Amino acid sequence: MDFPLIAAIATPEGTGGIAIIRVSGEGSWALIEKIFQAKKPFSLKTAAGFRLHYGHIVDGGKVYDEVLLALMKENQSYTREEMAEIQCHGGFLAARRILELLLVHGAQLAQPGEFTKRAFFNGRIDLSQAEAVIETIRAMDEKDLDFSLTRLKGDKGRSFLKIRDDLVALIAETEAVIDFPEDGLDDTVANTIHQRVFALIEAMEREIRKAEEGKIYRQGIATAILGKTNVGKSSLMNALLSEERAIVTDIPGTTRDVIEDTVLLKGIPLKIRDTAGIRETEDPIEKIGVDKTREAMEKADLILFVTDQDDGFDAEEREIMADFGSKKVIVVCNKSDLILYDEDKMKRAAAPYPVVFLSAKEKQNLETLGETIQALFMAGEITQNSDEWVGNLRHKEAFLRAKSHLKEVLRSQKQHMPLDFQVIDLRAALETLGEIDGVTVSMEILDRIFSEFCIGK
Amino acid sequence: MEPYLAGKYDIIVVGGGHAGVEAALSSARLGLNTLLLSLSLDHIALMPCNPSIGGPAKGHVVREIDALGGQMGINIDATQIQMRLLNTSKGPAVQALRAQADKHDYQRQMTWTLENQENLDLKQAAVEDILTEGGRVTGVVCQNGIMFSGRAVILTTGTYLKSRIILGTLLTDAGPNNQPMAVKLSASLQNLGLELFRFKTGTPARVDKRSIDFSKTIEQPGSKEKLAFSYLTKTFDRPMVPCYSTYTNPETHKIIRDNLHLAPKYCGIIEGVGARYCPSIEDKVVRFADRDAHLLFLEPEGLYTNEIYVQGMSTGMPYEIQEKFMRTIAGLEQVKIMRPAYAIEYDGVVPTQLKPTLEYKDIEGLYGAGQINGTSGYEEAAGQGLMAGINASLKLLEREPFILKRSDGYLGVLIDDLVNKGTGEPYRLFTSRAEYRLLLRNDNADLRLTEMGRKIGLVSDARWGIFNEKREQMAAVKDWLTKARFRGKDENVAAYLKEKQSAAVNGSISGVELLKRPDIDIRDLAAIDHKAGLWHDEALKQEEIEVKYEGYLKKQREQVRRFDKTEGRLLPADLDYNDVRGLRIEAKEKLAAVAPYTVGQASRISGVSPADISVLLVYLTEKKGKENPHD
Repeated sequence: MDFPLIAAIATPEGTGGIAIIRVSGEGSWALIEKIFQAKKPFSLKTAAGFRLHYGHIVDGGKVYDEVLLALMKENQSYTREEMAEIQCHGGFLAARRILELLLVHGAQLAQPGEFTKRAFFNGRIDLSQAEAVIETIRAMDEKDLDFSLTRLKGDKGRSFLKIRDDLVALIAETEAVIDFPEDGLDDTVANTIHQRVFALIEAMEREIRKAEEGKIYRQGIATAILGKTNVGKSSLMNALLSEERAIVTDIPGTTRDVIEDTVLLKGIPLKIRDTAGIRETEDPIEKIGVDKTREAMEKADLILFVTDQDDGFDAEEREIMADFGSKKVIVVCNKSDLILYDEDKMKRAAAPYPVVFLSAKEKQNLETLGETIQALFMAGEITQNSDEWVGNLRHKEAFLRAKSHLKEVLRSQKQHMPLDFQVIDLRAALETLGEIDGVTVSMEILDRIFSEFCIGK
Repeated sequence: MEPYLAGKYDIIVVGGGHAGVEAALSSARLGLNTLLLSLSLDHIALMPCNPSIGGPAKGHVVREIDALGGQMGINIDATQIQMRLLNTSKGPAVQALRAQADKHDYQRQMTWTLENQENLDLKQAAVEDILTEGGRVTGVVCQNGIMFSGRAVILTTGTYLKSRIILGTLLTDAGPNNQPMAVKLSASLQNLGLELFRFKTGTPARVDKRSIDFSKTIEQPGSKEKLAFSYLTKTFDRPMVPCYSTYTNPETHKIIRDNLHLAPKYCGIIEGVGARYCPSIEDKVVRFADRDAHLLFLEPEGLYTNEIYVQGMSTGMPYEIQEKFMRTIAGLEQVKIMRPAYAIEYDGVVPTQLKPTLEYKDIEGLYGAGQINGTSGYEEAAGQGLMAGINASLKLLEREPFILKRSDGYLGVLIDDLVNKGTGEPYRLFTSRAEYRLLLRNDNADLRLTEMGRKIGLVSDARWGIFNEKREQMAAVKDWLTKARFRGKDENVAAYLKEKQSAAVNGSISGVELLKRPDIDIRDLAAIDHKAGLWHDEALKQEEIEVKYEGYLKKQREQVRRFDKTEGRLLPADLDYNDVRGLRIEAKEKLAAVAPYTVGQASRISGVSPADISVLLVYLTEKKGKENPHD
């Protein structure tokens, strides 16, 4: 069988520390080569299957995660195709980003059950499983349809339909000029293609950004580290920044100053704000002023409130805490290597906020902080919506590919290719959009030509 | 009284229009004893509508017919009075030939070809009944009390099945030009269990050339280049006659609007479904109300006639209104109508009842081609006639059927669309219907099809020789392009690049690399390299296209490769779709109705989703595994 190259996250989404991304199909290894930097360089051409390679996922000079890469040859893999599995350490958000990277580089997002389907068609699994395979196919078909239907309602639907409609109109005008050269049609459409394709690309980019996940995923969690003097705010900041797994990332759509101080903790991007301010907090808190504290607090999605009190909070702390309102807060009991906390008492005092006991200086228990953040932000938010996330990703991927077809149109124009060669990629873009709404192109262009142009003998 | 058995044939073709003549010629040429029956032997290969052949997609089809050994290309080349190459700047794949025909000469020469074809008899008779025995066709019965036995029958009835002419509110039961029509054949087809449809088409008025003031129109000359549809045509000495164009105006439109109540479509007389790409002038005026001018062409119908075809003026309005509104048009102020425009309705047979061989699924040996299948256009008809003639012959010769894929040619697209999707209006080919049109070009029809035609037995030695010479020359040109070096210091090269505003060459550059640049012409390169006249333009053009558009062609070939894979997966003929677990009911019904030959064909049936195809593949894999447990 001739299947396209596919990729998907194979492990259940959630709190697990390691996620596995699977790639299957001819060219899997070559695809991986584009984004994998091995610790000990080796040639993929001569690489043996069933080996683990240690390295990093890198793209455009940016390191995404530290990973283990497993390579499997056709006769060794589950799907009986060339396969690769990336085990990433950054948790599931890192896994998502790596998956997106694979899609950008040419893989298609696998349908649920698609690996199994391939294994079946390629003779890897028993015929007795045909029933299960059929069920999977039907289920994913329905799910896809449901998703398309719900998604195409409302604003998102409107902007999608607008893009589609503009593209259909452009193709119809172009095809009309080609198919009816003697009908006296206005053939200036050729001169408008550039500008219209450009506008379509921009509109698609807007959709791509929209399809990217909510603020947290896109920009990271705006985090403020607060606390009295000398409780170890700076050490916590430094511990987070220098933490081995903390990787500075570039997330599109965010401004530069935000990028610079985004760290990954258990796969969650934390955008630590006002770091300078916090670093300067060598002086007593009253000198900073209440205003400044407030400001930091207001902008934050998450407050890490650092303390070193071993039996509850003092008056000064309680005053700060009174302003937290509905913010998400984690109480960080620092210096746990030196202080013997009465944990129950602290938890009672901090309620309703969760408490983490750690030592920033010794970098002890930072993991727990990550897990707590994950629980606070991800539970009930992203993990429960993985269907939607996959749907979003599918749309985003379709837009990305449609966009690259449109870029081909511009390229063809630049090389003075005749009209026909521009239509080819316009049509390819439209077909790609069909993956979003399930509408196939077939008669649509002709329908449009006949309804909008006066043609005939 | 039992009809008189007037003859026994292998193949009987019912109808002598463009489909009928190709069907009859191909079967006779393949050695089958063939009979062509026509309502009137005066009207063989009649062009009842426009006096022209070709245009985008249609011209491609003529080239394909020719490459396979059909007659249309040869006949139009011999009788054309003007030829143009259209879309020259829009890309090689959409360039198309269009010829004006001397329609009388076209008929005469085609009739003469048929009359002199070995194994072919022409007879004038109206077929009333198709005879079958146990689901197999056995012959035809004619109106004049005679019958013919035949092992295969090809229906090419055009617009003559129970046809009715409409001129304003005047209805006449007649074929085009008030000819006799086939009265009873529709009922016979229905008795065979075939489902019929009713379509409508129309033709504009013919007017007297002497009554037109051409000084108020714009002359449309033909191209001066040597153009031909047929790969066999090597002489270019036809006379060239211009066409003319002019425009309607607000006054024209007012008359039409004021009299809309007299137009058949708007007063509810018409039953048949018309084509959207062929609207009447009243339709244009109503639907495009904001336009105050519509283009029309005045096309001569031949060298020895004063009749002029008024293209763009098709109408169902009464005679007096036609005259009135035409006389508002610049150049037509004094126009005299020779034949008024009219609309015509006719029966056809729903084409989804056909196999891709154009044989009816339920009646062995019965074939349909041309307008009876719901198409419009001489070229579409001729192409189907050729394919039906070939397939009926191959079947009687017990050879493999000849089915063209969508990636092989426009004929493949046409037939695949008809048998899988059917058509809700008269079907015309457009280049935009072809997914792989970059590869289905006017210039390479021979490279795509001539070898197939040779295997079938329709490609003559002369054609085969010309074809092989072209292939050899192409190889030589390719070799030259790869090896030739053009040096920047060569003054001819430098001067040429300067003239073309192309960057100067440092050192040297290969022919291939240089040709990839925009505006660089392969003939110029051949001249610079002292190779002028060594190769035919056709061979040069082929290689030029291959080099200049390499990336696009490669991409399209890759698409075709994927397409061919599913196209190559055959479905068992006896497959019971009720047995396939997991198929939706709609898909089961559609698949059972069309009974596709391949997985690819199945995927193009409307109502069958990609998931259904996956489920079908699971079923096939499972079945194969069970049948060949050690496979």
